[in-house]
Amino acid sequence: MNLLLFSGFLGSGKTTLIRAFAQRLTDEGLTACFIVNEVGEVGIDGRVLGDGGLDVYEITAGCICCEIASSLVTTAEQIVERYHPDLMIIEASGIAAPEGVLKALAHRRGELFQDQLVVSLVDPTRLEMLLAVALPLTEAQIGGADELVITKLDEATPDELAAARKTLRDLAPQTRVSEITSENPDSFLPLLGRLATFGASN
Amino acid sequence: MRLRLAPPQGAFAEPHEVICALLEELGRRTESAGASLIGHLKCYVDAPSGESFHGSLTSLRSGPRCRGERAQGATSLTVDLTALVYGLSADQVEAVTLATLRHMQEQGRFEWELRELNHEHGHDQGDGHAHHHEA
Ligand SMILES: Nc1nc2c(ncn2[C@@H]2O[C@H](COP(=O)(O)OP(=O)(O)OP(=O)(O)O)[C@@H](O)[C@H]2O)c(=O)[nH]1
Ligand SMILES: [Mg+2]
Repeated sequence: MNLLLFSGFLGSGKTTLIRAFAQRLTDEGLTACFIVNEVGEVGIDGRVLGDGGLDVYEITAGCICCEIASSLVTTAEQIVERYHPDLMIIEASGIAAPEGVLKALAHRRGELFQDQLVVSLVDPTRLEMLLAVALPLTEAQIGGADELVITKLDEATPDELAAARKTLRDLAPQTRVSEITSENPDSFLPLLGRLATFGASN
Repeated sequence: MRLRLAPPQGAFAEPHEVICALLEELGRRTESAGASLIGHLKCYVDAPSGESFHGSLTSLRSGPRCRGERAQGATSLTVDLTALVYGLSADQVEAVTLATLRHMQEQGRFEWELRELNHEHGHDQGDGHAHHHEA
């Protein structure tokens, strides 16, 4: 099993992308289990993904990168035991640093899962505000990614898009950046293709 | 928080519209109350028919969005709502949410009832973390 971690600020488009990716996995005959972590006590994304027919484990009422890291390990163990999927997909809460999530699982790497990939999403329409309000978090999410994704192309102004590209280049010069919009599913294709290849590589 | 919304009379012709209006009013009010950034206002909505959908607002400029089944003609809606907002305390977010609901009731959009109130769990302010508050 490989581990795919989606990170990115609140509302950056993680659940939207995961739903599209789940469809792609089905088309390719790959199996996946999903873990969704939300800070609120009421889980919403678990039900949104569940509506798409996915096997979803919800971890609510805390952040898996720190306070409830141990429930992440327990959940991952259950998934491996019950399903042995090709991929374990985690949607981190919007306030999680991917590093913290990986650290929680690091001691089980090789045993629970083989390879890992972190995809961080960036909403260009709010990036400037986010850098002002939550700089360390934003740096951690962008800097901790193996793949970066600028979302909401349909809504971003040319200036916002240019600024987002520059910020990503500055914070993560080596990382590949995709640009997508939920309004044009074709924009997802190259990224989803790479992620599916990663899923098939275990 | 979990809410139950009932139409002023009859049924909700377009529940998506009602929920979008609620999210937008809540977004406006969190900003006027001094929020530095709306993180995500989102909800999951169930209708008695078994239909469901979700609603979301990440900025006033982008506006609210509802996705899922339309639940037209629902005679009530059960709404699980979370409001993650920067720059307001949990109590402030809760107060703004309740004021929004009262306002919308006064406008004749719906009648509401609070079913459950969740309390925020602390989140440390360590590296990589930022403050958020939840209603
Ligand atoms: N216009 C536009 N809206 C988008 C796009 N992608 C996502 N959204 C909307 O942005 C909002 C947030 O999307 P989600 O997928 O729920 O974001 P998230 O990162 O999972 O949010 P949290 O789990 O709360 O952190 C929803 O209303 C989506 O419909 C996009 O490409 N364009
Ligand atoms: Mg989500």
